[in-house]
Amino acid sequence: MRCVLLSLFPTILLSGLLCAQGNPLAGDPAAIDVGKGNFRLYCAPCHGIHAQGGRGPDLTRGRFAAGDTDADLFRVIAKGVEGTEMSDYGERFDDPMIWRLVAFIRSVARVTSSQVPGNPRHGREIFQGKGGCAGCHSAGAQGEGVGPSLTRVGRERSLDYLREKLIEPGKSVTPGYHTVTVTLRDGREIRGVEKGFDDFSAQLLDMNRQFHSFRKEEVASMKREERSLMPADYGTRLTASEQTDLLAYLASLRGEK
Amino acid sequence: MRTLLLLLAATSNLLAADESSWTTYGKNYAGWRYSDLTQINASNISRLAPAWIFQTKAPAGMETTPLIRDGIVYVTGTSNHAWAVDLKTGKQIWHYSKTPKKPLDLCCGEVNRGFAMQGDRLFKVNIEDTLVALDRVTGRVLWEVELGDYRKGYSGTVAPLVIKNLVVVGTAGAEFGIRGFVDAYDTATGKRVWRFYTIPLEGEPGGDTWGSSKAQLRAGGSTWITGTYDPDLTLTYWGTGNPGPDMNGDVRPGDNLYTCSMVALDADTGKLKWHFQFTPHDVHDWDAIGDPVLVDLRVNGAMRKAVVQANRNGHYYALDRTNGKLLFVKPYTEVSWTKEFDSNGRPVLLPGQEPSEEGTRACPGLGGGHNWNATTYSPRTGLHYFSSEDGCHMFYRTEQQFVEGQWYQLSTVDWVKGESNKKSVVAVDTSSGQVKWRRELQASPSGGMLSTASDLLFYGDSAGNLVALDARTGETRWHFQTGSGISAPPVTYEFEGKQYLSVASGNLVLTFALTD
Repeated sequence: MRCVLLSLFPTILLSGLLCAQGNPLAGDPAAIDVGKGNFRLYCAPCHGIHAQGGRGPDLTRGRFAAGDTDADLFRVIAKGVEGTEMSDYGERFDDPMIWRLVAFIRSVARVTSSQVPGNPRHGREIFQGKGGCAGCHSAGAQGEGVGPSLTRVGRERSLDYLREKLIEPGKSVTPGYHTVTVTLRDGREIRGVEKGFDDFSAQLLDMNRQFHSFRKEEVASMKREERSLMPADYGTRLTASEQTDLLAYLASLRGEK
Repeated sequence: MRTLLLLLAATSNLLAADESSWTTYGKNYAGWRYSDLTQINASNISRLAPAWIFQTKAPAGMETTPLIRDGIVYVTGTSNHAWAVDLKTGKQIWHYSKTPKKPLDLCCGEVNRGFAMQGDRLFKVNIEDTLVALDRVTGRVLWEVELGDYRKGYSGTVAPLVIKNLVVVGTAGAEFGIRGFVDAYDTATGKRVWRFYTIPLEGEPGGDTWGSSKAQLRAGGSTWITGTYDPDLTLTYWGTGNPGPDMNGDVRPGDNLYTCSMVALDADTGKLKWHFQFTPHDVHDWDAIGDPVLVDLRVNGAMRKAVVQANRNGHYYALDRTNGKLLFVKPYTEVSWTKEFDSNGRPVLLPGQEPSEEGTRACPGLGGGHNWNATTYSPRTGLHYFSSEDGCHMFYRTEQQFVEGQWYQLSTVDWVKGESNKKSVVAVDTSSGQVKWRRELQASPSGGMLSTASDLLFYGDSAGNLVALDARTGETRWHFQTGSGISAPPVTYEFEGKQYLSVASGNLVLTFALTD
């Protein structure tokens, strides 16, 4: 949309045409240099310092969920991806800056794309059965728990990140999913997923999807922990083969209808 | 109390303030943000409640210090908006706006920290780095001048400071390779009277602290937080920002004056009287932009005119404000990069702290320690209150060619895995630099602070709470949920015999008073 609109104005017609034709700065070492600096500033927190993914997808694979052309990459950076943590940078970045980012992303693409190993069909059975994942996570129409939705997780997260989350879920907690524990004055503990927490009150969703809200002065104590409520025993609960299949299933979840 | 009496005797010009108004960024020229009002106090603060809420309908993220005069509240907003609001009813009197130029390269949003005022004139900067004068009665534009070229990365966020017939103002943009400055303009005409560049060129005093860097690679030193002023010394004090690029110092060998420094300028001429560099050759983005607060201190038995600052590098400094000599320096948070200073206040660096390709853990993190958020000093307690983030960051560096107007930071930071940074309100004894108390918090006290003669300390936090603490102990006295993270400091004043408190939150302006 941005490219179409811009082309209405003669002074920036060039920009519009370039959108359709590809990156005018493709392969330009200086542009890649600047793009790398900007990438580290804006993109690295999610996509990793070397663009190999983290909370955000691995960008070195050279294949992208939102489209593989330079114009697709431009659009994603400018407009964001609705329903994901990828926000729109079009207001903050001018066109050349976005093209420099695209040039950098292209420069780090590996020649061969890595194939995700494992049997996704079997992984789905584990997700719904032995793994108990569906009790906390939704995947499309499946599941309705209090954990993050995994409907598009294969698009949004790198395989390394998914593996780490499966084996060591407490290592990096998804924003908004910290553990909140409130101890009542009668000694009972209410634990759940953080919905709000500050110096004066706490709000949480317990594992039964029950919402709780407490004022600090009403309770004995309340704490927010840098850990996830996800069980930390999948490294032993599942065999290596089962882990691989489950990851293959998660990687296949791309939000397609 | 001892400090108060001495100050009242010695520096009445410095402290002149009328409790029915709030007419400059720091309340007085000394930057105290302290009010003598006591109507709102610990015994009745439970009755403090909103009198009215003004909806600006502009983008959120207000950082303004409201100015108050003659029953009118003057606030600036994001994206070049500003308003005059009737204090009695909360109704709009006028609205100023100007569409920001595009494209704008900004590090931190289209924010603005407030007006300056002289007579019937208001002064504010616009985000594309212009200074505009408005008619206080109508909001009509009287004049507007360019400070820096936004296409080269300059931007305007600072609240100006009026000194005599001059409006003194700084600039932002150190992440884009700008050459920082402090400017003074004639309040009547908008004509520039003087400019002090915070980055000297080759051959100029201090110019030999940049190696053989070309002019365009001598970058940074922005001045994005309002300075203070001593009328007796005719000196204005401004903190300066980081050198550029932020985290790769290879292209700028040397101390890089006058970045990460405090500069004392002759307010009439802009001539440099003295400078003090807190962080020579900074590579961690530790801008020296904490409020430069003016206090008189007894040091080794002698009274000294001092300027104190909670610096982003993790240390609290007191300097002699007549000559810039160090009085003392003390850490107020976790620091990994130095343990000692020479007698002139130059830090002795510890090894292994520089940003690297694979990341280097260093403390404090990029934003400090204490960052830019407004501080307050209470002459009753002798304490200086400020926000702090206590912890570390991973600092990364990279290589990049300079491109005019483009980001020129050469890298970034990340959290240290397995560590979580704390947030706190810190109260430092200005006479010694010792932390008197520290209140650790869940939410960052991001909105700046205010202290009163009732020994109340007000601040807003990132979770949207407006909070009052006991200024002597740090205990909570009151809080109110405003509905948006607060990035602006509260102010207080008296109107028709009643004490009010105003603060911007998100895109709202809330005004509080005691309910009957």
